[in-house]
Amino acid sequence: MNSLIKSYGKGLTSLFLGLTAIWIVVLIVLPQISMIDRAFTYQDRGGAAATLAVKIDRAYEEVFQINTRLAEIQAEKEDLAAGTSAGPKKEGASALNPFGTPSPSDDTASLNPFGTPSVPEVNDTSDLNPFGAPSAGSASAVSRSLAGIEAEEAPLLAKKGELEAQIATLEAAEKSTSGAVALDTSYSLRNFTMMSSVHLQIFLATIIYALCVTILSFALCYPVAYAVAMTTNRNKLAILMLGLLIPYAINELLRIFSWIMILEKQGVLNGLLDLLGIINMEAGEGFRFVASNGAVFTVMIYAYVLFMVFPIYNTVDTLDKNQIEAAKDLGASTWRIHWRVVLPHAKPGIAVGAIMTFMLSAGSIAVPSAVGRGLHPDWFSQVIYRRFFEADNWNQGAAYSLALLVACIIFILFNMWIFRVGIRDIAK
Amino acid sequence: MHGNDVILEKLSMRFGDFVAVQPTDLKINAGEFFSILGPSGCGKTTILRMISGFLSPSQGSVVIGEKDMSGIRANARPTALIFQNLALFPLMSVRDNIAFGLEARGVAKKTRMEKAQELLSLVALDGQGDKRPAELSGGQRQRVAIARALAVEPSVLLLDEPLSALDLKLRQHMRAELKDLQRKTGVTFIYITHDQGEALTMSDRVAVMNKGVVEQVATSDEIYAHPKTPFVASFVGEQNIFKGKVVGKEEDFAILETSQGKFFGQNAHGLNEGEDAILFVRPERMSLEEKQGWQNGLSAILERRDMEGPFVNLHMRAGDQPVAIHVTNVEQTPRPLGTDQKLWFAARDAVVMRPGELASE
Amino acid sequence: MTITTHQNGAMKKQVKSPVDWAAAILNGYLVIFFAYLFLPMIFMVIAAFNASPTPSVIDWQGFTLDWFRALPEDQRFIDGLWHSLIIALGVIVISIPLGLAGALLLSRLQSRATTFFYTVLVSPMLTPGIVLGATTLIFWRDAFGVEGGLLTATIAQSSFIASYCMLMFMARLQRQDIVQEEAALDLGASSFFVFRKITLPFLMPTIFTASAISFLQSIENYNTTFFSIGPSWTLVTEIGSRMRFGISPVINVIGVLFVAITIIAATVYVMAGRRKGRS
Repeated sequence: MNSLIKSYGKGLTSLFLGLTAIWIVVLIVLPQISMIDRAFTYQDRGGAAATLAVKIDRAYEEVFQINTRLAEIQAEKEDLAAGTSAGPKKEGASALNPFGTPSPSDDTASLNPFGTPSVPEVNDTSDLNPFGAPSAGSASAVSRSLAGIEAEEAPLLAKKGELEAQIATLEAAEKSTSGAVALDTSYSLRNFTMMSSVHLQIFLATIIYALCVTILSFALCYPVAYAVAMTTNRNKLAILMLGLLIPYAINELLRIFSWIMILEKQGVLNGLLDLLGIINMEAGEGFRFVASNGAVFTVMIYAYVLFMVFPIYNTVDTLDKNQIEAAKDLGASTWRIHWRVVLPHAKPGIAVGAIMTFMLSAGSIAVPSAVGRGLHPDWFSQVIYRRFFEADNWNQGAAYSLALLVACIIFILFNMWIFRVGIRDIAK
Repeated sequence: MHGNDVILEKLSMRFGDFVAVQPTDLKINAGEFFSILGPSGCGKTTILRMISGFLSPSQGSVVIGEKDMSGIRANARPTALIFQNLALFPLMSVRDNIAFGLEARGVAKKTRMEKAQELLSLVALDGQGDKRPAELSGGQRQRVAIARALAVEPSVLLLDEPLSALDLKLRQHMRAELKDLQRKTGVTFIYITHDQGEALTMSDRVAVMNKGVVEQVATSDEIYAHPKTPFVASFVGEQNIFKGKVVGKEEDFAILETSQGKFFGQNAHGLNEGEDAILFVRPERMSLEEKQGWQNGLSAILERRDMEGPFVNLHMRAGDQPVAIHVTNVEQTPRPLGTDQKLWFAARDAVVMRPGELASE
Repeated sequence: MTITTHQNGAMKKQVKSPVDWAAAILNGYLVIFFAYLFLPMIFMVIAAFNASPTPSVIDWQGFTLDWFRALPEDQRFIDGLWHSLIIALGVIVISIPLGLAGALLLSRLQSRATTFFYTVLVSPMLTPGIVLGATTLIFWRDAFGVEGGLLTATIAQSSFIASYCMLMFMARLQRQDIVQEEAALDLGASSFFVFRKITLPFLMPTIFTASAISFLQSIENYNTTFFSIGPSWTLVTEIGSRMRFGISPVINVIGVLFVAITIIAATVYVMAGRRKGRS
């Protein structure tokens, strides 16, 4: 403390202390405590008030969705009236819309937060879609006639009226019970113990998948990081660095999206199989790769592989190249040079890469929700999302988040132990 | 352990348009302490790397112990390289460092640990085997590097300025130690340096290099006393340099007309009358007293006097020409600055050459 | 003389280094790896110009720029972009002072607690993004009744982006010569004066780079934002929800723009780095 006052004087020191304290308390510690508090607070979701609250929320949400859709329909109508053909833009827009395409499958229905007209049960487990690939849910809409649009609009309007009436009744009911019957809350472990076996399975599967992603990424990356670090030709190095930086800097979602183009039923991979004569796309054959866990896995490696390359590159780059030559000169084989000289030196980088890759893939919601769009089994991040925003059970969501966080912390500690690195080696 | 001959046959190296090493023929004898001396960028390290196998020569070949090394990779050559920064493996113990080459050859753990122990003793590091290199002093690290290289029983040890990182005292101490080790092991040492003190004290023979060319190969004494080229003359040791024209010859001597008068010197390049020439004479070969048979004399003003303990350096000026004299503490008699002095040197102590490139100051 | 015969031989044969298989395999692998990195993006770019309403490379229905025209008319994307920019500015405003304060404290605090505080302050970087989003959302709703929106998204992002800023400042401070400060203090300057005239100018370049990196991190962030933004949206979360509910070539167009901007920026960055490295 004295050293601080000596360096910055009293005024500045207290300013810095204050800012840091705000950061620690408001941005880091208190949010974590709230989460932990919620995680251990059990709310009796059977309570009448809670059920009501959930129903009201859902009804509002649906009304909001319907309004959005109606606005779109209105726009579509105006376009038609103005004589513009239902051009590609509108087709695209309707293809985007969850309402335009009723889902044929109940499984996917519960995955789609906006697509389900009925209020799902609260403590459901049906939000898991255990086995893969129902038929296409989102065929693109073709250009539609005015009549077609109006045919869609009418039931929506009816539904909207119905919901608004429902909300009024529910809110009246809530007012009458308000205060009297609050949510029954108590501290307990039940948010964790209540984790259904399906959720537990998803949790474990997610951790195992994330571990596999980490290990595979390492295997893919290490030769690349090594090769780039050993490049002495300045032009070649600049090109290699560009080649790594550009995909790294491009948004995660777009990187994922680019793979959907490959894995889609109408994608490049099926096209390739068609060329090879394995399938016949003309006849409607083709694999729905996106619907498999393998696809999530593949895309995840693609999305996060570069988080492994850079930390390893950074450490290998600091290795004195003479050490490699010295080992070579002493007769060591390539394998031994790596095992005894390069890898030990790269340990901190490997630890950082492994931690980042694991954390990103275990906590990834972009990849599993975008690839296959709910057609493949769930990832734990999706379960957490649903606990929060669909089941509206924040406490259980908090418990699940905490479980994920703990898994990551264990992985970090494990890495620090196995690679013998400190926190300062990891976060640099 | 035993040493092997190293023969360079028309060995040359080009990097693009840049010729790092001109075609060079050189024979280094088995069991010899051989130094390659030259300023940085003269190509000496390139030669070393070609011998060790890290660089493939553009042309010519390296022959070690009658075996042509072309196409043989570094890890299969009977050479071991000691790097300028030593390149010890920081994450391994000293013992593991030393045993690394044996480990790489698949030697059983027990054997290689015994061997490592033996080498630790050889370099006087008993009891330091379990430390990490970073825990040792500079001189000790040096010895670890040598032990590590010797562990694989090379017939040729290549040393790339390994002493340059040490301070002066330690450097001088390590010179004696290296020489001693070389004698004990009988391994051929090829030592690269830009430090003439190192080269002259340790080596059996020295090659002086400049701009990719080996200018002279000889013993230390020979190099110092009888340099063959202006570069060697000016690079090794200090010199007083006089420029002029040859005006006469007398047996092996040439008479040079300079701005300071006529001087006699050994006619190293067999110059004829009328040719431009340059005369070198070492500061310790000059005297303030005339001795018998010393034909060369000039007068100069004493400008500065540096007392260096055993020696006294006198900095003088003859016209526009600076002249330095080293006298021993014993023979000097203090004289006031600014006085005019007469200087003398013998014809056999001066050498006259065709002008050429001088080592930059 | 033996040398002469050797000489002829040596002159004739251009000594070839032995074929280095390890290097050859490594180079081959590099080519495959970069193909793996870039091919998907190339497909994405190509599909942006395909008239087919579902983005596709193989189902070619003719070249079109319609999707590029459709983007600026898409109000949700435009709004999302604005939201992203607002959040990013907020993140910079919060993260830079916090990161700076943390770095200045940690780099001078000589105490056993330093490592503890260090760990706390970098912990958000090692926490999964969705957890950061969720905790922020919970805290602000429970404590202040603030619902998810741009504010919570800004705060959630700042909690970890400030850590990145702090590390950058610490790296810079490590290279600072403390003697300068002492010299100034010795000459009678006040601590505040020294900070303003010596430390802050020294940190200025890092303040700029940290701001730039915070900006990019914020714009690109998905996981944390997705969890903390509530019913609002940013450009990236909007892309995410479009991807979940049926894809459109408009996303490809955004991809093309991102790729173009990234390539230009990365090239400038690398070239600038090289020029600096040379001088």
